[in-house]
Amino acid sequence: MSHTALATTPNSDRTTRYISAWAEKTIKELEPNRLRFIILAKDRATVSILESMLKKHNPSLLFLNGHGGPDFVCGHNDQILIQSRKNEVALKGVITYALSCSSARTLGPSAVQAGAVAYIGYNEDFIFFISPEKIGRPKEDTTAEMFLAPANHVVVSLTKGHSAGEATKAARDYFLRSIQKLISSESSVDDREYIRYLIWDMRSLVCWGNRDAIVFNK
Amino acid sequence: MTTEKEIIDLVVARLQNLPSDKEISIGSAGEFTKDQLIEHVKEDDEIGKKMVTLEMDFLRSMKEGIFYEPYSSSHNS
Repeated sequence: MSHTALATTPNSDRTTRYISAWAEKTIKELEPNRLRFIILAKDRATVSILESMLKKHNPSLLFLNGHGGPDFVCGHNDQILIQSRKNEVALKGVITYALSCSSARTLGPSAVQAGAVAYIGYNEDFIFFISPEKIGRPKEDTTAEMFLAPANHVVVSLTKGHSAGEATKAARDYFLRSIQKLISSESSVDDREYIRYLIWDMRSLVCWGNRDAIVFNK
Repeated sequence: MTTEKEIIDLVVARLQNLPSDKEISIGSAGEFTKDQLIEHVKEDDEIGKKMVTLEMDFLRSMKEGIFYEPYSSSHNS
């Protein structure tokens, strides 16, 4: 089992800047020495570099961040990185988590069919809120954090040795705890408006393939 | 029987409650203010339809009691 993980963190618009900043923050805060993360940031998040790194390092985990659609996930400047019926075989032997819109709908099952160990992603558009005044400092945006912290918990859980199925459930539970906190606590009326969008993201998160697969032994 | 217009009016009314100082990111469609979102719903375009779907999904979730019960693994693929 490889102790290497790959992550793509494009940065070509507000949305990719946000999800990539939070992905890099999550990776930085992971327990050290468990997995060696190689980050393909900004203009290194291209299909040629990704395919080359997948072959070279044979990672056990791939963490994709970027725009997407039912059958593809993008990198920097919306270049398609992985697409079903094209190069999904590149995910063979890998557990992939895609923080990307709706790629679990077609690419997820297609990748598993082509030999991916597991594919965790979203069936629908991943929706989150941002505070425009925090655009220059996305990691300080507590509104975005309500959505991106639960979403990135998939990676936190996987790197603690939990299985693909357990990591998916752990992230959903994180969404649910956030929702319940908004309902029951002294949260502001404004914050409660986010509940329905958190439910949307939570329900959209799915896992295809081997739910018992792990990236790292406990 | 609920008409399409009644549903759109309901969704617009709910969107009015969103904070004015935030933007919503909807994937590659981009980021939208509350007012822009409401316009999309009124125009009944792709983004507007997405918001209507989301609101109806939310109302169904409330009926299912999703807030208070552990999330079921039956939603897994």
